[in-house]
Amino acid sequence: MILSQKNGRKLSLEVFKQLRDMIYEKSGIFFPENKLYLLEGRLGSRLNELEMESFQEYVTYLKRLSVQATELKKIYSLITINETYFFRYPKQLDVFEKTLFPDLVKERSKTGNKRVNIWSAASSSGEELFTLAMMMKENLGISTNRWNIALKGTDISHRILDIARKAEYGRNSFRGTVSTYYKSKYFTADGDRYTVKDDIRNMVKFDYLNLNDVNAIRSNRGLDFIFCRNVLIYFDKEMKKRVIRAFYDALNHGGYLLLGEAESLHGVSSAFKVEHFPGAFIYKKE
Amino acid sequence: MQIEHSHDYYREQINSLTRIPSLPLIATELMEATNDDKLSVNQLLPIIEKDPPLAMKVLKIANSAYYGMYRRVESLRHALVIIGMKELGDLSIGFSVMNTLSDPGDPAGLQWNKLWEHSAGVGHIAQMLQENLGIQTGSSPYALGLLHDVGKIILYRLEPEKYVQIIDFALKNGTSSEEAENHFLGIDHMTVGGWIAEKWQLPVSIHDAIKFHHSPDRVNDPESSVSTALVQLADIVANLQSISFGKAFQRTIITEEPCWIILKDVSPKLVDLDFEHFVMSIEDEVMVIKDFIRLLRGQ
Repeated sequence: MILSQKNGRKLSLEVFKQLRDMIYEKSGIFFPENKLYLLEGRLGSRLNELEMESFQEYVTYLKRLSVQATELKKIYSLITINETYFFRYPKQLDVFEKTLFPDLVKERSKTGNKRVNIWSAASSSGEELFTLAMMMKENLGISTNRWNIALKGTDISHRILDIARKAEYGRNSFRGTVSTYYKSKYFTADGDRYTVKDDIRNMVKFDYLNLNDVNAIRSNRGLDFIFCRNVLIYFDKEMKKRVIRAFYDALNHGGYLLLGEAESLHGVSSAFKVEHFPGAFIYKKE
Repeated sequence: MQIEHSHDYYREQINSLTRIPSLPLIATELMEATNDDKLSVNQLLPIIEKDPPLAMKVLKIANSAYYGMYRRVESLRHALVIIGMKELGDLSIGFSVMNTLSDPGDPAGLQWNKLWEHSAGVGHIAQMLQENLGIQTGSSPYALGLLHDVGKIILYRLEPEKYVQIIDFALKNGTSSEEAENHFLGIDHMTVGGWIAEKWQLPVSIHDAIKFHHSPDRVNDPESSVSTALVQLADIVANLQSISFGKAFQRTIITEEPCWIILKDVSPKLVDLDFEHFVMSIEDEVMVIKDFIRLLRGQ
């Protein structure tokens, strides 16, 4: 591999559009033109691996049905941004921990149906789902075992799913406020690496899912909570509408959809009822 | 909880001048002047000029980020044009009432800063909402917001120790302030606030905003019901952004609140407003609100 070739490889606007349209069609993730350089930079390493000389060659390659599915997954791993950490957006988590989850537990305890289904629809490297698992364990205490709690995380990036399954984290994952109580109770430390303990890991499962695949979303039924934080921003309005409609169908009546900070369904869906809490709002399916 | 006093007792306390100060003369004059439909600048100016601290505040407000003037406003006359005469009258009433009541001689240590922040915050948000929704109101939403919780100050002045306990109780038990007030005193801040507004003969819109800011659907006067609804909505937004006074964690379904139902009918823009984003954007307003308070309290 000649270095100058690597650096000199440019993504032209025309080829960018072909690539962008393919990615959008398959994943719903939309790259506006000002993201040309981002795509050029992110995919450069993949072109190196394939020893390709131009992006045009890569687009032709990507059109071959035999490789398309696997290659697209590689692209997703490269282009999705995985910026998450434990206890992110604490005001909303507070609402979950102190109000929504205890209310559900109270209600389910009465009926004897001790099942709770939670889905993190873009679970990234897993910090969010593990945070929820820890909160639920704290709430239920020793009676956790008597509950059938299903916490499922899905993501479009295989690379990131592997990290989530490994459940080992560095300092960056702790840049929010994580009390020493949680740190010592639910992690084993090795230098500055922290691994989630088995009792929490066993509550959680990770799987591949492309949010553009509405049928795949709908195959998740009977959900009590869907967390989909900081993902919708990558979708255009049509895609947002499709995904939100599918979320709605996947939720139980009385179930909740929790979006990221600064995300709202305004202009996307009016099917949900909005519940406001200090510093956070939550969407409820009635 | 043993309730010590009856409603009549509180009403008498409010009517007797020993414990609740009378409305400052300037506020009375302003009210009389602004009640006159043919009010002219020449009538209003001398009243405000008589009170130099008030005149200073008026100028500072005209120059504040809120009115966003590019040129410095140097004269009271210019300030009147910018703020509007009726609004300015209301604002001046608001300042003088709040200043008269927040006596620095504070026996039990009420968090005055929080109360001011909440009151001015509700005023500011009510004003923003009015603009966003394109609604006309007779009174300045700012003044209404500023005064809506005046009943709390009255209760505090009558029962200082108990009132501090009430606020603690509400925070710890997650109840609303009126529940806590009724629990300890058998009366709430809306009721006594309404009485003081009557005693001081405040304009109907101010009276209604004080007495019905949790239930604007109970207001009879149609114009006043809209401005009271603005205050309720602003109050909810302020609490959601923790610009609150003695209010604990609460779940709110905004579309079911009376203010939403009233405002939806008068402004189609309400449904188009991205309310969730509006609430979030208030976080950026906190500094503006705090600046205003410094200005109002003359600090």
